[in-house]
Amino acid sequence: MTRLRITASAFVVLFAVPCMAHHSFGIFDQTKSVTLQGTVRELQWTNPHCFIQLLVPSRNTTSEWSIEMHSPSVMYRVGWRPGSFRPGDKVTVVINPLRDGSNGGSLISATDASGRLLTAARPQP
Amino acid sequence: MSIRTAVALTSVLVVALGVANGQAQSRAAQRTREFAALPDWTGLWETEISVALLSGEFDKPVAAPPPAASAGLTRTEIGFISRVQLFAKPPYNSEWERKSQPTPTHARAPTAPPPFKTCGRTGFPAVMESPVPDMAFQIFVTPEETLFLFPDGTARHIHTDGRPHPRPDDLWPTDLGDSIGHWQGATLVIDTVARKTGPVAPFPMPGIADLSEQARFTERVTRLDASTMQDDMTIDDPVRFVHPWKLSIRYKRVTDVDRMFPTDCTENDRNPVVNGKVTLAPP
Repeated sequence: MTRLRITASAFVVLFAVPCMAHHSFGIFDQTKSVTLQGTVRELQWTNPHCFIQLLVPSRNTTSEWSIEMHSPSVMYRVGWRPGSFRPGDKVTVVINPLRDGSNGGSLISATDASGRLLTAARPQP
Repeated sequence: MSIRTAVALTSVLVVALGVANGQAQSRAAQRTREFAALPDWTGLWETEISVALLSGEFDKPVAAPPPAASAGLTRTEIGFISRVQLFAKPPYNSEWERKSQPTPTHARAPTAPPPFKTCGRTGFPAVMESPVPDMAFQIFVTPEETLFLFPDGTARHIHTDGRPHPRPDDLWPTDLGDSIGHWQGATLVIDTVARKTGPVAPFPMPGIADLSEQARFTERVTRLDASTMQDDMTIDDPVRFVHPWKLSIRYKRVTDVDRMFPTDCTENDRNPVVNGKVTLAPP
């Protein structure tokens, strides 16, 4: 069952941290958030950016989304580890979507089936 | 050789070795004392901008995105770029003030900004004011030199053994320039020359400050308290400035990680520039 929600708002960007050492995150629309539920195909723990490859089922098919994050050193500092998500894990992610409408976005947060929440920045006190 | 001669030569050799060993031990003891007198700057350090960025300070909601967001940067990026002192306008003389302005042609026919993507080392002086958490750095202090080591492989060597800059015939411009230093108490005073002509950072940002090869950099690096360091940097470019440009860069100790992780923008680059735009490629 696919659940996809798009929210147009200027107030949804709570955890986005860009990695200017490589490229601007201007390709992602920070005024929108998209919630995806799917299955992890792969967590790429790589420089200059980490990625979650997420398989998102819809009625008759499954589409693959590329969820871009920051470098391993930044993700490590905000609580991520190379094994934070493994292939087959069920996960709900919130992203800022690509402006061109294709299946990708920058990570805001990810929650696993047990409710564990990981974000792209250090949670504010 | 008579036995008497052999004994005499052996005695001389033993005495010489003893003197040399004593001198070596004395030098080692002196170096140990010099080492102990130097400040302890161990650990990882990052700019205050990096700390704010990682905590989400620049993500705070605003009623409307800034106009510059339409130029390809996000609100967050505009927020922390505005805090980088090296991205401000330097005290150009009239000639370089004129050259830094957009030409009438540009004004009439604005073009899309270049895709904001970089790959490579940041270079000096920008490496000292990197706003991103990936660039937390380490400082190694020894009597002979102080090393600033960065995750992208950049190593600034600050020679403190009393040497001068190389003679002109032995010196050529590089991305980091040539740095010598000396200690004034617990403050490291650095003098850097022979930095390549060009922008202060290898970012395709319109209007970014541009320095000549004649620029001279004086830094006073000191530790303010257990978790804070500061680099007071003066850039004097007699070719382009009307007066020296003064910056004060503050660093905080990194406490959430105990080692440096290397960065590499080529390992898995999935953001190619296509038709002048940064894209996200499939795996």
